Amino acid sequence: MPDRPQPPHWTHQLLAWICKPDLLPEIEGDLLELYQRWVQQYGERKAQWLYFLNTLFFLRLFVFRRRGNVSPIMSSAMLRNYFLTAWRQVQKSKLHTAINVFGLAIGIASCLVIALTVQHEFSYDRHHPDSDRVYRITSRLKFADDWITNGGVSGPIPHAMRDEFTGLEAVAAFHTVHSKVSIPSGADFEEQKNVVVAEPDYFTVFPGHQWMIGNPEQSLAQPYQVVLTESQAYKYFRDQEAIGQRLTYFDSLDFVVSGILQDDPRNTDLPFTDYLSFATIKTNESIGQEYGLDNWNGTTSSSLTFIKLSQGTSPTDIGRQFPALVKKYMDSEEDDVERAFVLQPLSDVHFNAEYIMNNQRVAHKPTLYGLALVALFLLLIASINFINLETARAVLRSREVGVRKVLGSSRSQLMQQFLGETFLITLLAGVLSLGVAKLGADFFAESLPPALSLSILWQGNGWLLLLMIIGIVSLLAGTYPAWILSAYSPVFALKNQAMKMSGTTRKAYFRKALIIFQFAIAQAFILGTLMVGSQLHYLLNKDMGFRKDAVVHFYQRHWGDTTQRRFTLINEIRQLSGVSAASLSNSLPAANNWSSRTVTYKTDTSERQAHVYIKEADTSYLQVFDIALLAGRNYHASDTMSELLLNETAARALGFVPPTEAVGELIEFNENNALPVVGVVSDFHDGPLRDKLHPIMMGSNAYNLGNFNVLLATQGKQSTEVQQTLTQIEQVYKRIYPEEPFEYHFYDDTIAEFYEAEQRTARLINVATGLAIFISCLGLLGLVSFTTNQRIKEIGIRKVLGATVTQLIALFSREFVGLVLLSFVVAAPIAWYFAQEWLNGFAYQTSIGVTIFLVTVVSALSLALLTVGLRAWQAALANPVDSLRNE
Amino acid sequence: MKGTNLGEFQELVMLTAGLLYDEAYGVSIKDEIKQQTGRTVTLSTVHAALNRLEDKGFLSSRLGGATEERGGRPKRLFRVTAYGKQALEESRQMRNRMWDLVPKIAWDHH
Repeated sequence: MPDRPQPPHWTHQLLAWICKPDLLPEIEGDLLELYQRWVQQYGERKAQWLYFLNTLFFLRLFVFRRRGNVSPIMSSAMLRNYFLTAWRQVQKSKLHTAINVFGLAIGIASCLVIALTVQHEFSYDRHHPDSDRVYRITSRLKFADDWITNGGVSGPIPHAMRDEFTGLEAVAAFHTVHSKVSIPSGADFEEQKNVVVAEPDYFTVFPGHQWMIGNPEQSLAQPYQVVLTESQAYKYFRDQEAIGQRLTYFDSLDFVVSGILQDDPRNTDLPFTDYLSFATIKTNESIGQEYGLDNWNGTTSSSLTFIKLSQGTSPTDIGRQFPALVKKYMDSEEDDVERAFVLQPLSDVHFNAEYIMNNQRVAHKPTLYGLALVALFLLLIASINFINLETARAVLRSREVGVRKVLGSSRSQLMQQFLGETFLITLLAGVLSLGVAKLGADFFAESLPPALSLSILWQGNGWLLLLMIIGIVSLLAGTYPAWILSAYSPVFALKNQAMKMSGTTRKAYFRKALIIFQFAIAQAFILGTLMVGSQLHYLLNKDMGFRKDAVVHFYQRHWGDTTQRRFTLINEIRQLSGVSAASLSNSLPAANNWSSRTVTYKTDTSERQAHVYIKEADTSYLQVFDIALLAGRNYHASDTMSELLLNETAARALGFVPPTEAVGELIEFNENNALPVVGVVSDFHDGPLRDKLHPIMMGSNAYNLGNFNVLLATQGKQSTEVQQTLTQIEQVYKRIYPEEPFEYHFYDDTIAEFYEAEQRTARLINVATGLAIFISCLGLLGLVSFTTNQRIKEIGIRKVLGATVTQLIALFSREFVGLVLLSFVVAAPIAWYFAQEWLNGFAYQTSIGVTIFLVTVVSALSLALLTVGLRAWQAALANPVDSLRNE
Repeated sequence: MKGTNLGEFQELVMLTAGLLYDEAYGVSIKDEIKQQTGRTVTLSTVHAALNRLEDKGFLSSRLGGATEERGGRPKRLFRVTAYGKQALEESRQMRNRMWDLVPKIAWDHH
């Protein structure tokens, strides 16, 4: 035999597994005989393959086995019996079934919603052919000490790349713009936000678009051409033929519709509807300037460049070619900005908040992972309920197991039966979870991606996802109970001694461990809720160093506005009786936008430099925002900056100890420009509390001011009076800026918006906590009602012998108190650790006190006691006669 | 006829088993079918049919003929039983009878 070629060993095992044992030798013999022949004919490789295939074909024998024993699990009579047994179990213990189904349904529903969310977020722009070779070019600019990132590049760069770079298959340069659109019949369309000025090459980088009419070269290469999507064309022209029609963009430029694209329902961050030809801005010099086509040094985030690498080129190959480009075109004397360019993979675009494109929503990966973890935990808690209830109740079914075993059931058959029952329960939960998921998705609509809809469950393979979750959950929840149940020895089971083996045995320990785990999760969630909530409260209520309530602010563009109307406006507002002060500034005390520069303080012996953030405002700024002047005086009104205020941090950074020493000193901006410090103000937070507060320099500059800040006189006033003042302000505004909308914000709302992400986290964790506690308590309820039922006689006897209701409740509750306390010990350090990690993202943190831990353990304990106590109380109140009368 | 229904392939397998007489087992039947009819069938198809026919009592089997090329595994050798022969004959007679009943004109296409 050693000389003969043999098929691989594992195929023997496969065959042995497939075939009934008594058929194995002959079948294997036949196959081996054929195998020798195949080796001769086709060689060993193909022979092995044929052998494997033919082995697989024998599955039909397994499925339609006619000879020998009929597998009982397959017989319809047994199946009927299994269903009947399952149904009786459901009927016998409706509460337990309800608890199991409901808990699992919540777990599955959260999994479903979250899985769909994750799938949705990761589907963005994955459909473009060769999308792994598509990158966006982003800019990094270094001003003074700070790197600033920008999702766009300056105008000439893409064209230079196309000419001078190697390794590029295509370069798509485009500008996102907003524009009102009008059609020849005179109808106007509100500002369209998905307009893009693009070259034909756009469709080489993103070739997935279907052209209904036209093609990139013919429809987008000439000046004043526009390509529309199908639905956009319908919006403009309804049922008229769109091709050849005229559309007016930017109030004055006429474009001819020269192509129609099919609508693409797939998720994308490039949802453009109007493609204006790039040739337009190239031929028209004045527009070209507006788009910075020749401006190497200006970077705006609406001038975007996507590239497609040639096959086999790596991003670093492209990155290497940038320094030469920068040196050649952007290395001028007067421009001391350091530049770098980074290739961002297309797959990163949907997740990177650093470069937001055309106001597209970005997803936050850590949040998605957090969500997935939450769903997993909820599912685990629900599965633990199932495991605990089923193992506790296993004793009740021990006799069934005994009888089945005596009648010839094998252990694996019993396991199949019980797993099958679990599957049915889970299936029921799965169906219910669809409803729960719908409710949940509606309820959390604002935390979910807007385009997400549960209906994708019914498209394609969505239902497979549900089935997969159900399958995994059945195994997770069902395996251990099935193992325990099928393990009963028929001798003990039938002599009614199965009870003896439970209670203090290993199973009970396991059950306790699971309860501890479950309550540890629940308490970790409670701790998380409290800590996040406490930090959020701190963020929203911490004294920022300036006044934020009763302040209303609004903005008006000031670039290129040479009129005096903003000064007129602010003065008229000051006249209103309901206004105590009003100020014009370039930015709010705490804002998301800022400007900064490096300044120097020189003495005879030393020189100190500091990078300071600049706020420009009129003289009322300190009064409106109640920023305290520590030393010196406020600056005088002036059209250009002539006097300075420093905050304490800025003064300290420039070497003044104490900071008030700075008053009267000269601060240099550059060689021939130095300004005197006339006062020092107290520190205030100039941004979200995530960041440390910055050194700040303030001065008067009439030209940069576009923020109107109004302090309302609210002292002792009704809200209607305040509302009246706001209406008056609007009237004044409308008189002076008749063409502009009036949009005002209360400053405390604006500050609350800084923490939108944190508020979302808080909302999420609140709900997760609620659900975790709810499911855990459901489980406890199930367990307690089971044990009280089991011990109903014991309760009766104890009562007869004089036990009070309190004593009885204590009897049942004692065990659970211990478990909850133990689980707190597990949860506290874990929750503490993760909360610290989260808090480390903030420069200013609330202090986590003992109170939070106390509140957690007390609330968890009282919830558990309430659940257990209610049921125990009910049992303890029962008349002992009822339970003791019948044997 | 009822109760002894034979599928076309089953009939083929039984006839093959008959003509191979004492050498009828999985591989040889598969080969003979190929030779007689040109049909390529898989081993499992043959085995499935053989099992089914043995269940019905049309074939009987014994083990024997372990060879080295079979890795020492025995062959299951099949023989047509008297009941099987009867079924084959019934099937053949039914065909003949029906052939005879077809009027000549039915074949007359020219």
